[in-house]
Amino acid sequence: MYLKLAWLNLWRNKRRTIIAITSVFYAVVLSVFMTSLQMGTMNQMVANVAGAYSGYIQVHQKGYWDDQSLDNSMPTNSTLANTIKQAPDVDESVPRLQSFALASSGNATKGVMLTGIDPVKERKLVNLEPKIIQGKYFGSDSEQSVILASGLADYLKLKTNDTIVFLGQGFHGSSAAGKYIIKGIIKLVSPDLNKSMVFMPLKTAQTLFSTPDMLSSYAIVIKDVDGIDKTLAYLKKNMDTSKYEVMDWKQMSPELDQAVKGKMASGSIIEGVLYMIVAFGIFGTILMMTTERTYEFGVLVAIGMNRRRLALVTALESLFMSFLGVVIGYVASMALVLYFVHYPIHMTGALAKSYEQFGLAPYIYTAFQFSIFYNQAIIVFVISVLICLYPLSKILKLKPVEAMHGE
Amino acid sequence: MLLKIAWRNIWRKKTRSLIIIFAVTMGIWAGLFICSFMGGFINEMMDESINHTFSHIQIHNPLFKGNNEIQYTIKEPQKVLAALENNPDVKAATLRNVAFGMTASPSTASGTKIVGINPEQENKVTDFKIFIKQGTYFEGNKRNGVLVGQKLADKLHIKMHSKIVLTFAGPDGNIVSGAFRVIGIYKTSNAQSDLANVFVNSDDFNAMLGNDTTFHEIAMVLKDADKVDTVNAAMKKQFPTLKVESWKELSPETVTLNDYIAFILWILMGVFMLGLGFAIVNTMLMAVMERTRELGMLMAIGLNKSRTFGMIMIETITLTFVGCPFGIGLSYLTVAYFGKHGISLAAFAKGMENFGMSSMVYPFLKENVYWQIAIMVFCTALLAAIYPSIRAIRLKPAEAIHKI
Repeated sequence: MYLKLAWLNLWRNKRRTIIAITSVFYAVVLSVFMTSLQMGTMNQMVANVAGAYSGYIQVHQKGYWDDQSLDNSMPTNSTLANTIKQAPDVDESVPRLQSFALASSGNATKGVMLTGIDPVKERKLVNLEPKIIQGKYFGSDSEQSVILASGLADYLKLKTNDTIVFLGQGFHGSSAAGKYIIKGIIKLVSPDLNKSMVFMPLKTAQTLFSTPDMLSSYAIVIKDVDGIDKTLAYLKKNMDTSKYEVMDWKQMSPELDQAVKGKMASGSIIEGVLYMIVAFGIFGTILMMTTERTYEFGVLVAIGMNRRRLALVTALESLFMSFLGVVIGYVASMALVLYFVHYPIHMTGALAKSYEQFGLAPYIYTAFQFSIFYNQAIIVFVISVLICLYPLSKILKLKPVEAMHGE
Repeated sequence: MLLKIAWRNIWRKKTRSLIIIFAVTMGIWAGLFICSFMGGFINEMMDESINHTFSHIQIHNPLFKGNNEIQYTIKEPQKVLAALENNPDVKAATLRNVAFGMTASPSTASGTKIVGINPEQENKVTDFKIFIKQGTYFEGNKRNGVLVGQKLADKLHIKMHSKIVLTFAGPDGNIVSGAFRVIGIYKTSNAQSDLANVFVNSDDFNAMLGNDTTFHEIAMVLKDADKVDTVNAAMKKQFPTLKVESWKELSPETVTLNDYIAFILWILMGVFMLGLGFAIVNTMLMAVMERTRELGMLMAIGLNKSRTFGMIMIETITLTFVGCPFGIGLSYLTVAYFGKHGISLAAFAKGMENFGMSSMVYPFLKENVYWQIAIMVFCTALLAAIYPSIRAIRLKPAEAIHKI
């Protein structure tokens, strides 16, 4: 019966109820939007760094990461390749062979980082083709050609169709020496990488370093960034961990991980401040509502309604209003975030230009994650329930005669 | 007279007024606090970038592209240095040699940038000294001492006092090398740069080349960081044969990050102002509902619609005015306190210190931000007051009086 009473009370005075519900609604929508923006910018930060070169997850021979020499490369293993392919959310596993070498042309010599790539699969990670400023991309995975970064090409004074010589140390101390044609020149965003990167088809690199069918790493491209833990767990369970190691970007770039955590920390502080403001909005509304109904409460208590029962009914009314506000807010905020996922906020002016120069998309993204909506809804619900304790305490202390006189 | 009525109304209903004043105070405090927080963050970043790496302005030979052109030195470096030291805007300047070569230990070798510095001068320009984790920053004048990064020391399997060999190609193409002893190990927040940079005394660098006047780089700090652009432009004219660049040209990434954070801040402020706006609208709406009888009576005895509207608007504006100084005062105190003691993020990001990233944020605000935020809050409150005021004048006096 109390439920019915509470419900009817709500709709007796539609305007008041709607105002109260909207204060909770605004609280949910704003806090969801802000949290989703923060998540979005953090994901973007990781994507720009990890997603662009190293990949979110890498698989190597055990011990490779600490000592990145060719002697620690792993033979291509179809079981391993299959395990990786079958892991959840894996889009592609990109094989690579990497080593330091000396590049030489004419009188100039420079140390470079030589990476053997699978031209097809590598498109999903370091997509070289759109970065080509001279020449062409690889046509096969065994042609005797290389693609150079433009800073390096400038230093060695080389163009496409020129010849370049590499000298280095191969597998188990063998010498590596080879002569190759420059098929293309690319421009990399990072000035340091642009002065030292060389890409070669995988089989050609394997021949150069005397590492037939061997790889330094599998870099894994993931379909859904939020599922990275599942993928990692699957791989750890199904791989031979005595022979191989699997690492995520947090282990490969702990500095980035800490930077993200630091950003999350400052984000929490900002969220806390927002909660204070929206809690105020709810409190102001409830306070006014209580004051407005003081007369009504006074009358009820005067004609005999038990104070506790009145408090109960009012509590139920508050619960209903908070609940409705949170539910409607939940749905509306999902729609809002979804809108921004499809139409992200565009950066303005100089910022947009510099982002484009860095090869990054000049947008701010929102993250559409169910946990965000869920958590924010719960927090706001708890806040509004706590605030609704105020009217209850007022009712319990009510003096009917004063209440009915006051204005 | 409207003012008098509005003022008396406010103090008649203390609870309601206090809520709005409080909301405005909170809104201003929140906005300023967040701005100061971000301001502190940006300062940290710029500090790192400028004080540790780029300094304010650098000068090179125009053909020096940072790609191993050891032959492209600065002509008459001592003359340029003297001119800089006489420049009233320059706090300190230092000369450096730069070469790209190999650093080798008994077990491995690695490609590195070898930088020759004058430790005393260098210390006036950068605060690199704070990154030294073991050993000293060239104290004691030992010959052929070298400073290596922790990551490089790990890779080469060397430690303090280990002997390593530095090799690079001289300006005439001949390979020069020298044996050096590790006299210090440093660690910065950038592991890649720790791996790639080793530091020696300029005198030892030039001794390897048999020439004591080659220098590739001049780095300087200014007395007033805000004057970077004007000083940069002036120096470009002063040294037309040399390449003069400010940190903004050397590290466009830092400028971008700066702009990015400012952009995000705008969005955050927008969200906060919306929150504040809704808080005020809802509270005032409820207030109008609560005062229905009073407003009805006022309108019945002759307060016309425009005056009613005005009355409520003035009440809101006055409340906001009262809240402003409290908000600004509170923020000023908060920023002053935390600006000194810092806010610790360590609880959330335990490892930050390990990477040379400060886990303390020191909030910071420029004076004009106070006014900007105060005006934003004021406008928000004004806009928020419009809707409730409109609702107030829509009341029908006869009905309103009879409301119970």
